[in-house]
Amino acid sequence: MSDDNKITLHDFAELVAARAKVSSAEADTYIHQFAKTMSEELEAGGDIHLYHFGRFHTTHVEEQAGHDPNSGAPLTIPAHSRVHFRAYNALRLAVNAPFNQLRIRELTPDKTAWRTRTGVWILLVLLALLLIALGISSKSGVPTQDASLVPPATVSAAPVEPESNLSVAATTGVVVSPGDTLWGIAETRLGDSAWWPIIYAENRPELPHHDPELIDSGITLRIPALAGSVNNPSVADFRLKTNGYQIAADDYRKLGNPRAAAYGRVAGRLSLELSGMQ
Amino acid sequence: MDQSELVEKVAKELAISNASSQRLLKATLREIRDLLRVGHAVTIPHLGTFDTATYEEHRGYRPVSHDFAIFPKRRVPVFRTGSLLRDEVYDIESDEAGVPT
Repeated sequence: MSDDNKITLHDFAELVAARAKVSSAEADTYIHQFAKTMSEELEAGGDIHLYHFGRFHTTHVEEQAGHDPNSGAPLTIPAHSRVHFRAYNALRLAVNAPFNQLRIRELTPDKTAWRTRTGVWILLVLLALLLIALGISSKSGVPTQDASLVPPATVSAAPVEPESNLSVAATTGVVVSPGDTLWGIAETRLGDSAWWPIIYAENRPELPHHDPELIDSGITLRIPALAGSVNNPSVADFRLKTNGYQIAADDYRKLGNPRAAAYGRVAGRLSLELSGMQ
Repeated sequence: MDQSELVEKVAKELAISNASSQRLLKATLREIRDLLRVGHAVTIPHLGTFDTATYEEHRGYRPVSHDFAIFPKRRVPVFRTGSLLRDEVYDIESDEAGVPT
């Protein structure tokens, strides 16, 4: 019990009067009467229920043994009634306002709590999807020789050839370094990677494996000179290309490579176009 | 007895209207609540004292999860029965010296 925070009845009556807009004498009378009525009711053993405030009730206490707190002598506490006050939630929350934001803390932090949080699982699923998507995009980003199957048919005659100087230099050989592919060499030296079979056909007698997908590093490949250019090929160049595709398809077939069928189809179409041009 | 019965009873005793009795009762209860909120204690004559008690942060048993936990600091409203009311409710005759047993 602390007396310093107590408010006198006089001050309290004035506060009530200001709130109810009546004189403080009226408020004082009212408070006294209110308390008297309530205590009469409690004396009779009834309950009092006040909205958003609390409930007063009485309980019966049986006769029990106790002792005198001053002398320590034993004495018998007779049976009696007790008044209890139970505050309702509105009053509890108002009184606890400074500490309402505090929560019960675990003594031992629960290390498995994350399993019940859906956010963690959503994040994990998103991460997995991201990794899968990255894997797919990186796989499709790797150039394969399948792309060389795009037929160079219906070559438009319109564009000028920026690769003319390349074609001039193409008469010389090129030394294969590790990592080089026929596809890449055709791209840099001829200007179109789809023309790689003509390099293969030109050098096939010198290649030990007769495999279009396997060339040894260190050997020198001859680059055949084109009469026209890759964008504007002459009939002779077209025949060279058809021949190259046919040889590539044959070698693939011998090796049991499934690309043989596709290369055979391209060779057939090129020969058809060739017969149309002649 | 609920609130409306209390209002009517007090209005009859004081010979005022039920409406004004209701207004005064509400003003009293709200004033008590607001005083408790800022940490004051209010003594109503003949009835008792409304006060607040502050419990420090403590370790306690939580029956829901069958374990112990740290309960945060909290302040609760308490009511102490006044001695006049206690004597009446006790319904015990004071002894010769006037001291209730």
